[in-house]
Amino acid sequence: MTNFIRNILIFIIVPTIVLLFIIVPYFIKDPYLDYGKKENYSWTYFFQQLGDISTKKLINSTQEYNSFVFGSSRTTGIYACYLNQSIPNSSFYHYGNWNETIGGIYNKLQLIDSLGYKIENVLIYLDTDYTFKGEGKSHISDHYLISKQSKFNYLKTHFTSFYSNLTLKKLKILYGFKIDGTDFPNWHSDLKTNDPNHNCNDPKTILNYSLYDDSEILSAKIDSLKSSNILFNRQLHEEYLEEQISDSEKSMLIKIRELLKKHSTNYYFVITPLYDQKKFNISDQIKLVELFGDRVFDFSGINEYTANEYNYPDGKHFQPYISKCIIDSIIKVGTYNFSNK
Amino acid sequence: MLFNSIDFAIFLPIFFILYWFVTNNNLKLQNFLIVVASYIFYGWWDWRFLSLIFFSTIVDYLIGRKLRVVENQTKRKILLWTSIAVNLGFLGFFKYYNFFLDNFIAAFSFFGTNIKANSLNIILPVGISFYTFQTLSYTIDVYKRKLEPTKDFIAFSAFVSFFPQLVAGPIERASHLLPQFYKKRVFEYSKAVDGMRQILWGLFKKIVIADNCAEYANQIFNNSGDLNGSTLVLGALFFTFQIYGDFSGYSDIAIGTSRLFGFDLMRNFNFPYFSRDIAEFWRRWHISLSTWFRDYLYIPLGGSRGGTWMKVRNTFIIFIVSGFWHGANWTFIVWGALNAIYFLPLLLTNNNRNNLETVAQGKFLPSIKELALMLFTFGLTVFAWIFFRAENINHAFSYISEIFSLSTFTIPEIRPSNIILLTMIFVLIEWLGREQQFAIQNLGVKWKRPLRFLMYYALIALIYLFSGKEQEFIYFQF
Repeated sequence: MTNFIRNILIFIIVPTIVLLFIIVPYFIKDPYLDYGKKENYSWTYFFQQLGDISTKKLINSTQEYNSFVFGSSRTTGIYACYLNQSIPNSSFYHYGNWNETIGGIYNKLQLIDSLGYKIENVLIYLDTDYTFKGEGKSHISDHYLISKQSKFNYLKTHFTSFYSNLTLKKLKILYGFKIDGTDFPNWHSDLKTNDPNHNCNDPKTILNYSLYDDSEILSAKIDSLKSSNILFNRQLHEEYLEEQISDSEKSMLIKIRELLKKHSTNYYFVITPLYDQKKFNISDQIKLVELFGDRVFDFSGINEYTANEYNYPDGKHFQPYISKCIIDSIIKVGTYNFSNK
Repeated sequence: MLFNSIDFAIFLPIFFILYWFVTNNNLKLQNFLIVVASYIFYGWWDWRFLSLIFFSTIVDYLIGRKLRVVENQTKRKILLWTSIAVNLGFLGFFKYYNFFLDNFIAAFSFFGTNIKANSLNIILPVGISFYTFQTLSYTIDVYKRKLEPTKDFIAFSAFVSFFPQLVAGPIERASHLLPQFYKKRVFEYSKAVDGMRQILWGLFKKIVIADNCAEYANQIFNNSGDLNGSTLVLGALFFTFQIYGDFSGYSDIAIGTSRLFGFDLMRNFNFPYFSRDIAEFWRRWHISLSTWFRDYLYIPLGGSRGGTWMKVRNTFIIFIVSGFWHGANWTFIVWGALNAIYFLPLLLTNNNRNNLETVAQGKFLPSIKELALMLFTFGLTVFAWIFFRAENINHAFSYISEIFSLSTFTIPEIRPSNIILLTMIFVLIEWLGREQQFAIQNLGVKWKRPLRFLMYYALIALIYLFSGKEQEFIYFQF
């Protein structure tokens, strides 16, 4: 037995040393920003979940926020600094996520409420291709306070998913080497608003917000997407989507309404203008209107934004100026007063 | 708990330490620890079904005790049939209830009568076919007075639930495994090292060969209607290596793990794809099940002692029952019947025991004749696996009809060259090690330690680098 144990120990010396060299830097470099408080919470690597990073930033923030933006990556076109200008006394936090679901939005609102923030204004982007596809659950990779999993399980998932597909680029990340390309987007989120990839303090940011990008580079990219059929030919006549709000998702919407009511929130629900030009289902529309009244703004289907294929740089997202147009048009309606309803 | 999981990698060393160091080599304590560990191992998957194992254990233990004292033959028979009814009753309900119900309804509707009955949403308890047969072997052997019934309930519980082979075999005979629970276990260095090597090779077979082949076999079988004949041939070959890597890999890990704790499990695979005829194949494939059916079904039915009709009948029964054991689907029954058809000519011409020795023993290469026979047998096996893997009989026939079309002479639409190369290297290693218990049993044994360790590190690195998408062991569903 002694011989066996001794040989096992000798055998594992080399792998242990190798593993230490690979594993210890993980806890030092902390690629998921899991351990301790950081100075910079920006989306840096593709394997990170934006919603997870945003949650960490909010939890560790000392800023006072009273307004919030929710939704998927399409909210990256929303400039919280512009909203701050447009809605008096507002201080927005951009709480975007990749592939956000209605369950994720509710859980984030719940967290904000539990952290003691006052929720005065809320802008929510609803996507007809994703928001109501999660059966009311939040995204699996979201922060553990949002996905309601145990902290241990959450940390373990990060650790195992990092090492389950260990590449040279990941090793470079661990050892602090500079890498670029698809694994290293290194966006810089605005320190205050958490707006991804632009700086609200730069005066040009707001100035350029209303600009339509008609650059040759973008046009060529879109032409190539058209030729590869990623930007496919759309129907000439408007089509309606199938009903997609399930019972569990409707109950999430009811809970959201209750939370907003509790805070007497001024809110805006925007159904985003997607490339497919498919109109949001009427039954679903009725469900939303029953709960949120005239604060549901439907930009789906064939309209001035969706008509131009060059508004869609990658087929999935639309140019930021469209978000500005949406904000301008919905703000006109005025603030909402729950007590009148 | 899966053998190829982090959970098991943590579970095994903890159990090892408790088993050898904490129990102070106390036999009763070791057996008790085996029972606890085995229930944890099984409960990790679904703790609710632990009650089934526990119930089977109690029933067979009590019937065994009763058979010890009852001399009246009628009463003994009643006791035996009670055990059979309980064990096969569970198996029948969980595994075959919906199959019989669906076929019953289909038969009536064929004659114009429509019956309304709802299928039940039944979850199949993992490994039920394996431990059921194992406990049955105990009662039958006790009934036949081939085995002394045990008084030791803990030892018997450990025999029924022994975690290395609980969910996918080898299906141990009580006369072989049970006595090992009575004997004081001594740690043997060479046995433990051999066990570790067998575990490593089993993991390689499962994670590298089976899981990678599974990805392509699934892709091809699931889209067979859209693919050409040559791709379908490749799909059948991928499944052939998937099922071998998966099942024999599991058996290797099970046998290796048992050796770490001083147990010897029976051999389950003996390089079956190097067989020269189907009879040899069945002496080398899933040996524990084949011999179980031989001992408890074929021989009681009269075996090959009767006339030609008797031989034909018994052969068909054993192969069809064996097919049905694998699952409640007509595909398994056809697979069994097909193997009976392959086997019969050998039996009827008394050529079923021609190839008892390992092929090309002591030689590097086989003769031309041996090679031709091996390829022919391998081809028959691959053909039969199509029925085994197909979703239903129609799927199998459409798959085969495309293989026998001109499109088989075109270039395959899916051809993952790295996996094909890896499988060929694997076949070569298996060929070189075919005279041992497992292919790498003697590989590097006499090398100096650094070189030997380097080989293990290389194997571990290969397992990590070429690991396929994690798949559950195929035989868990049987």
